[in-house]
Amino acid sequence: MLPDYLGQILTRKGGKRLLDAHSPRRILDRPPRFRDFPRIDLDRCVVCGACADACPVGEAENQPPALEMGDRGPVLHRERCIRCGLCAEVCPVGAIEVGTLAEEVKERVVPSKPARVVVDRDLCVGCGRCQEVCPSDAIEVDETASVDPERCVLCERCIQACPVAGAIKLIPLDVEELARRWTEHLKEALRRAREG
Amino acid sequence: MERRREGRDASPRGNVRVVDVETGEEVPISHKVPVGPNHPILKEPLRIKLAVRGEEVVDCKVEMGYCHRGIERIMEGMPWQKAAFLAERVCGICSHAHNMCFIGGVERTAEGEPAPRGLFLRVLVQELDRIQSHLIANAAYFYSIEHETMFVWNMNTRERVLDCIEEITGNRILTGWNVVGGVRVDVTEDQLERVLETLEKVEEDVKAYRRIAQTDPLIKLRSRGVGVITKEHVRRYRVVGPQARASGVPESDMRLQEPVYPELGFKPVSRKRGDNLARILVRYDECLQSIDLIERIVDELPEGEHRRELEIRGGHVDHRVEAPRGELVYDMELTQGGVVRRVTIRTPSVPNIRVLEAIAPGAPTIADAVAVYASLDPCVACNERFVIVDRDRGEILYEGRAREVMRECSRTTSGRS
Amino acid sequence: MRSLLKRLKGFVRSRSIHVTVVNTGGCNGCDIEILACYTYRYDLEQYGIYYHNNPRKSDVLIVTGPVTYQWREKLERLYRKVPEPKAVVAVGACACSGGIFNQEGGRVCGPVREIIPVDAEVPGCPPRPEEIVSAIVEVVPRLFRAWEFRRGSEHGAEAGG
Repeated sequence: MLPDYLGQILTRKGGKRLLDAHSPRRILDRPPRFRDFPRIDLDRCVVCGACADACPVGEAENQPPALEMGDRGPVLHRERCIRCGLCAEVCPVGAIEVGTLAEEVKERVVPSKPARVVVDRDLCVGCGRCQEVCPSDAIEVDETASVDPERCVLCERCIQACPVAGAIKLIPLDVEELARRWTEHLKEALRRAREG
Repeated sequence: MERRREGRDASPRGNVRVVDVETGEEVPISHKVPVGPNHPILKEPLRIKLAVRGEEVVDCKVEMGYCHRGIERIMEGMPWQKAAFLAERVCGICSHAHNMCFIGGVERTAEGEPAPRGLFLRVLVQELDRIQSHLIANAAYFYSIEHETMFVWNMNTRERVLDCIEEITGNRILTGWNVVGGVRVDVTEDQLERVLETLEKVEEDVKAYRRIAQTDPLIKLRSRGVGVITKEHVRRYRVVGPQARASGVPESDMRLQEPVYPELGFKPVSRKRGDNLARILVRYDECLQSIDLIERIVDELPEGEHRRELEIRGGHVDHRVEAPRGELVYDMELTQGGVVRRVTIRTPSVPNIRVLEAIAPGAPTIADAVAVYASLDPCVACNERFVIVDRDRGEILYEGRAREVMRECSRTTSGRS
Repeated sequence: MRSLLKRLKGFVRSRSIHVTVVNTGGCNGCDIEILACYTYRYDLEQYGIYYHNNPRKSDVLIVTGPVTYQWREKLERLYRKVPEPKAVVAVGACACSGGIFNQEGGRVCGPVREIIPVDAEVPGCPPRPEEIVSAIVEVVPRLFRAWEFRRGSEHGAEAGG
């Protein structure tokens, strides 16, 4: 790694600070709030996928996303990571560490989700299996189950665990539909601008 | 002689008529000196085409477009939590202003007010960011006139300011500091004290640099009267930021209309000359003013929470912030919950670089033209914005017209949801 | 005798390096951090590494930023202009992988290593100056020290492509 004399002049007696760098701390020390690459503790991970959802670096044609969900937990691709620290903020169990950020940010950030988990009350039998498997305690069962959208991490485990087909559904908030309408409106407006 | 002629004739476009010294006849020449896209002065890719007559610059064209990454398109369909990081990466130097403008725009569509302590802390980091940005702008200018001592001194002082930013936010640049409703992490008394301590030294330094810039004969030779932006230029090219304030337009400061600054008794600085030296001095003045503002912010920092949960209702919003380089506009369309539907960014560097086409001709040497460019504090990464092309007709809709189209679109879509 | 000469050449070469910084369309955060490496605090010049933005005279290309479509051909051309022992260091998440811009909707053509051969990569957005300094100081002199011995074989073939 870097020599200790960084920012110093080498003399026979060792490093000497001729040019004052005006810094109270040593150069190689990192500040307490510095956001380094996330350290992932796979033992504590519940494989909910919240970090991968929150990560702003998405998938590209030739590149994986910065945080990819594997079987055992998220896999970090260092060359993709931008060190924003969102993954540590959203982790429900505190398995990701980015400096002291997760402790200092008291409120959990809830990313706006691309979809919503909805329970069909007519079909639900209130067995409580979904509550057992939920990693973020988002489901409460009281005659029928109800989902707290704030805490839900969209892991879809409840859907897998549910004995009644179609009782718990994942409803996407349609982004593509929005985009399609947007193009239509753009064309319309262009046409109007040309005429008017 | 013969060869030189040939070279001139072969060069394209002769819109400048010059009399040949030796023969006395008028020959159409236009020596073109391309600067960039990779050049020592340009930290970022941009091409400046200078037409010169000997050493004198007679014409200047700026060619942008090397940095187009499609940020506005990537942002579409992203929730604000992610898009804030993308907004920050429009520009690395004034990153905090972009982040603040984006988040401020989102907050305006939300129900309820953001936490006052959060707003003050946001402004605190913004002013620190302004100091470091101005210092690096001046450093780049001094580098362009080959005054390396001042370059290194300015950069060195900037390191101290970066220490302050690092102390508060955790990162040197690209801080990721703002969230809807306030700021990410609260600050402690110790940190504020250390920031003030460091800023005392910074203030001494900046005062010394300002004195040197005012009195040094070499700097004066290269800077006074070079690259004058008149009020006419300001009006015509819509120059913003310190560049406009150096030409005697203090009203161009958007901080007058931002929430926290009136409580701090903010008054913009301005100078009248409008040349390179005035721009440098205005930046130093603003650094000192920012230090004052930071001291007042620390004094008047309200107690309480640093962040509030707000519910975002969505809609069309147009938010402006005074970035270190001038007025920054985010024109956004949001859905409920804060997913970005469409965003248009207008950055201050576009008009500031365009004015180079007006003021570089007349510069006595090519080196002066480059110095003028550096004194405009250009940020090329900001520059690459969209162009709307009418595909059926194959013509480009220019900014005003394009904006109309975008407005029209937002109106029709916001009625739908 | 010849090997001694070669070793001497390599030693001298590794102690005097000129770098060119190329921003291929990034947000210029990394450029600023590289510039900060030249201030007193980090002082890259004490290792004999000089900032010299002329590709024809330099040994190392430092590339920052995702490569935009406008830069693609220009970057290849720039790489060919650098004289032979040469090294490329990709600094920042953008140069290493396209970063945050290389996703759906972005107009970038991928990481630098798919366009020109890259010798070292520094991840981070932006990397801290000491990370940049350590990468350049660790990797680059090593490349040049052994170059005389590798000259005939692989490096020559690589330069052709």
